Amino acid sequence: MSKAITRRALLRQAAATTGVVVLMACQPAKPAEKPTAEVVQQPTAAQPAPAGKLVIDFWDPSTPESAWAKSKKAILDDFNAKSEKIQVNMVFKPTTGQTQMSEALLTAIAGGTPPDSAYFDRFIVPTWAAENSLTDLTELANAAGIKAEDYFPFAWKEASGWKGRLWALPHDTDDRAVYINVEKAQKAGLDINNPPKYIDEFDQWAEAMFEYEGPRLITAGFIPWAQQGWIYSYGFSWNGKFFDEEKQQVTANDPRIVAACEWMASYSKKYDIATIDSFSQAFGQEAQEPFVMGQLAMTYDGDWRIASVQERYAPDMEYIVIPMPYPKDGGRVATWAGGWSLVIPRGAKNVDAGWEFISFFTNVDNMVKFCVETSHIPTRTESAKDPRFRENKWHAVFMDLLPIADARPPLPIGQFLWTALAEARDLIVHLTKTPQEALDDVTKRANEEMKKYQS
Amino acid sequence: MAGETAPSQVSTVSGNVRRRRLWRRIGRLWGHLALIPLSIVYMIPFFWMLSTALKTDRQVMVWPPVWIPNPVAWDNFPRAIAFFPFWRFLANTLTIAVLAMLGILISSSLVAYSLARIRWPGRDLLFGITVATMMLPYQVTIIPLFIQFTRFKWINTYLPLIVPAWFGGAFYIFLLRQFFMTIPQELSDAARMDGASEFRTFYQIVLPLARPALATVLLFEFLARWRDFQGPLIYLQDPRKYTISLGLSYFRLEHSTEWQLLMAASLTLTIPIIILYFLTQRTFIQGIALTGLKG
Amino acid sequence: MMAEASALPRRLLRTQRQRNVVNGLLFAAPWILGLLLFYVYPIFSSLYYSFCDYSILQAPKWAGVRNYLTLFTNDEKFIKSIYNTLYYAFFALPLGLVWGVGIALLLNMKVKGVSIYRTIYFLPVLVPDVALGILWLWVFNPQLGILNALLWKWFHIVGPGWLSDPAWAKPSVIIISLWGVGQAVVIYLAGLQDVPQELYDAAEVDGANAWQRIRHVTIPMITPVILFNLIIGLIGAFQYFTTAYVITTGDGRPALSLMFYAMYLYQNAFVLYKMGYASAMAWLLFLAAVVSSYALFRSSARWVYYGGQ
Repeated sequence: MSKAITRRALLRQAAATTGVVVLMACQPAKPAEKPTAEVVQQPTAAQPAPAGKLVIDFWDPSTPESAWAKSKKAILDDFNAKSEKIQVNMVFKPTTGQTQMSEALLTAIAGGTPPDSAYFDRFIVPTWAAENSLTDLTELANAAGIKAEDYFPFAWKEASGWKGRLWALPHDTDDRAVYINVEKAQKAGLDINNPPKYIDEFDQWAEAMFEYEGPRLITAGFIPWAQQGWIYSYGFSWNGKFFDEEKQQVTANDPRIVAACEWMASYSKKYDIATIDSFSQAFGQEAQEPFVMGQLAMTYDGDWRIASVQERYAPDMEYIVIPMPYPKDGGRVATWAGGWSLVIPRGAKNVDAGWEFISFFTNVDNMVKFCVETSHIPTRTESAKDPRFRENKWHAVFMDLLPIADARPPLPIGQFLWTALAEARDLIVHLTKTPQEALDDVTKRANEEMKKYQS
Repeated sequence: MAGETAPSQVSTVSGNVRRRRLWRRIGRLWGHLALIPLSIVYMIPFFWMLSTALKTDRQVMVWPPVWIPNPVAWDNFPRAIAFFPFWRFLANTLTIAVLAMLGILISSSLVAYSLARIRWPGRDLLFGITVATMMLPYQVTIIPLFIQFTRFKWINTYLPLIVPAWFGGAFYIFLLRQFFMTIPQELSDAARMDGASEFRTFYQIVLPLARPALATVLLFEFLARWRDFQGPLIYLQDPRKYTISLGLSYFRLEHSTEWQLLMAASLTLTIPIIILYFLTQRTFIQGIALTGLKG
Repeated sequence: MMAEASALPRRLLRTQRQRNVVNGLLFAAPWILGLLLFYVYPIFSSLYYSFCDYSILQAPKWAGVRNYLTLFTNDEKFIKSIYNTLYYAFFALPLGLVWGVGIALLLNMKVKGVSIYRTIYFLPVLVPDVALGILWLWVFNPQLGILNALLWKWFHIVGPGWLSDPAWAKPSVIIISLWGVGQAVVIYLAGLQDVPQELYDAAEVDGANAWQRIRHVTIPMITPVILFNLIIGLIGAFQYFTTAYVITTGDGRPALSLMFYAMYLYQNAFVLYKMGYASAMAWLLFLAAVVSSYALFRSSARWVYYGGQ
């Protein structure tokens, strides 16, 4: 009998505890203490909106204390102040790992609980569109008079890369070119007023700026695979085609792209990959990063370097910026652009409200405001005309490249292709595979993946 | 057992005892000699954290690293705490951690008892299933689990982070089962013959003997909840509910990371764990005396 | 006692058995319920996914055994990741075991200040993963890290490229894993507390020295926890990924030498939108883990000593 009683007691206890747990978990979190130190970015409260406003969510990956987030918040607050019917809630969703996108967004879509708007990496727009996860904005855009000509070609290409419909509103962007350390160039006896235009001369410049102390490398003239030196970077400069529109086939093994990779591998062979590997492992970050520290005499990097590295850590350092040199026969001036956009995930409850917000966010003036504050580059041609983007003469070089900038092929397998090429680069540069082998492999696998979207 | 020795052996015994004491002292010296250099190696990351937490922005990424910061930026600590809603996130995380700890302790010990101390058909099968659940990588179950929780309507609450703990955790069930199995069966048999219920045997005989293991379970679960990033990331949609692991990601800005503040915040957050660890260790040192037991 | 039990009438014995079944199930009820609520659906879903193309963003589409076939016939990274993971497991497991037990034994000594030592060995667990990544890259840096600096200073050896050298990257992460042994040590210490003092005393009287006491008393008595840590270690080694992920930013560089099975799985699941493919990988891993741990459990009958059975 005592056993039975204890058993019942056990069950009762379990039920009670579970009840308590559930009750406790449903209570709101305790209010925060007000810190007396500097102003804190309090998370935007999901408070009941003033007087019957519709509340929608905007998921954003930028850290609340960053300039980036603060600028977006300002635009968001502006929208809330101006809109009578809609209140937007900014929700910080940190990114995880390799992708620029939060896992949270992925699971939310899978679970059917997506936000009404999100800040989204433009590069994966075609993938998500192909997977039916974004709201088609074409009709809304037409009604608002938004057209392709408003944007630089590469941006529109990415946003409408799937079936020619519009899936995102492009926001900001970035592009890439070569930075050259003036002091190192002059020390090597190079004429800084006549920087190289073609790749042969560029290689000579690089060679002249490799500095050794006995057997130890102390300055690398150029490392093709450092910083933004991806296969895309040089593939475009060699005028290679990554995707054949007609045949709808990935052509990563285009002979010109193979040639570009041969060029990369030539640096591995000439300057010994093991030496460069251990040399570049010693690279620091931020204030100790290699170009600023003189460990890299030339580097292929993005426009953001000007504000976030040069001006911040080495304002007195002299450098010039040139478009990436290319082979005299068959190459061209090229760069590629990435960047962000705003989207409305499919399954969002308030599409029209979401549209009002994202179209406000990406209008000409707000885009200028944001890009100036955060030292980014706008995707709207109208916004790009603002003279502030050309105040820094090297930034002007980046602005000049925008009209001819490429986008990475806007394919549903965009991320797959990127990852495959990054690994191919790793293998090519370590001389584990020849460029032809590696790129053939990438092409084969990418086309196999493409089949899923082609039936 | 420690019993009688023949009188003729007494002098040899005391000689042996003296020798043994010497050896023991030497043994302990060796122990120190081994532990000290290893300790230094083990402490390096922690020293580095401490050192970085006190550096200024300029010195953080200096290569090779500077060990003694100069100047010492004590204000990194208050600045780090002000950088994100520290106290709110801390309160949130503590709530989750404590509730989960309690739940997992109660449920896992009950289940482990069943698997270790009660002979019933199917218990080995259940044990096998338990261990097997740990062998499927979590990456492929989080999506369907998330979908499950959306069906329960638990998204944007703490429930997905707390409730499952009240049903048991495979790791802890396995751990406690191993510990419970080392307790001599005679104790349970004696209790049963005395008419004690199974629950009383569990509560009054077995549990007290497994105190170090129980303390370990509490410690580990606390640690797991403290560090859990992915759970809060996908289940919480309201930033007011965020936990400290999400809070720490506030230090990763667009093009740089506030390392010194991140380290300062992390260090501050290790304090509760270190306290808990000390409390855990006290149960270890108390030890267990199995008196009156015949082998 | 036992004699008394057999003298009991059979009717009572049957009741005891019934009682055991009821009690057994009752005590295990939370977990059984939990399995039904939180495990059954996700586990069987993932099995289903493994036979589908599933991008997470859209509903799964049936694909038969295509994922499994592709893995074995057309995926170099898969084979490479298996090799990397087995390499890691082969070295890290036994080394980790010996190392963990060794440190636990040292920390079990009744020396002054042992609780300080114990805390020191536990501290590594408290350092956030992000910080660890940077730290290890520095320690193992071929040009400026302390490891090579000490190798040169003490032994006049020019150290290898460690994490930047495809041939040395895995040994480097194995060394790193030894440093992360703190949690296992805590469990060993808990187990060591359960070793009855009488056994040590008896052994001493019988003339055993310290080493013999360890071999014949301590270790046999902690074999249950050793088994636990071995199984957990095996599962952990098969699913090894976090540290390598932080160090290589997820791509297994250099030259895929650190592309572990779980890392490739994660990549397929969340980066390449191939959750079905990742699920197939997961189930293959599951099979491998089940088979290995079953073998380990079977062998355990021979070397594990449970005081209570």
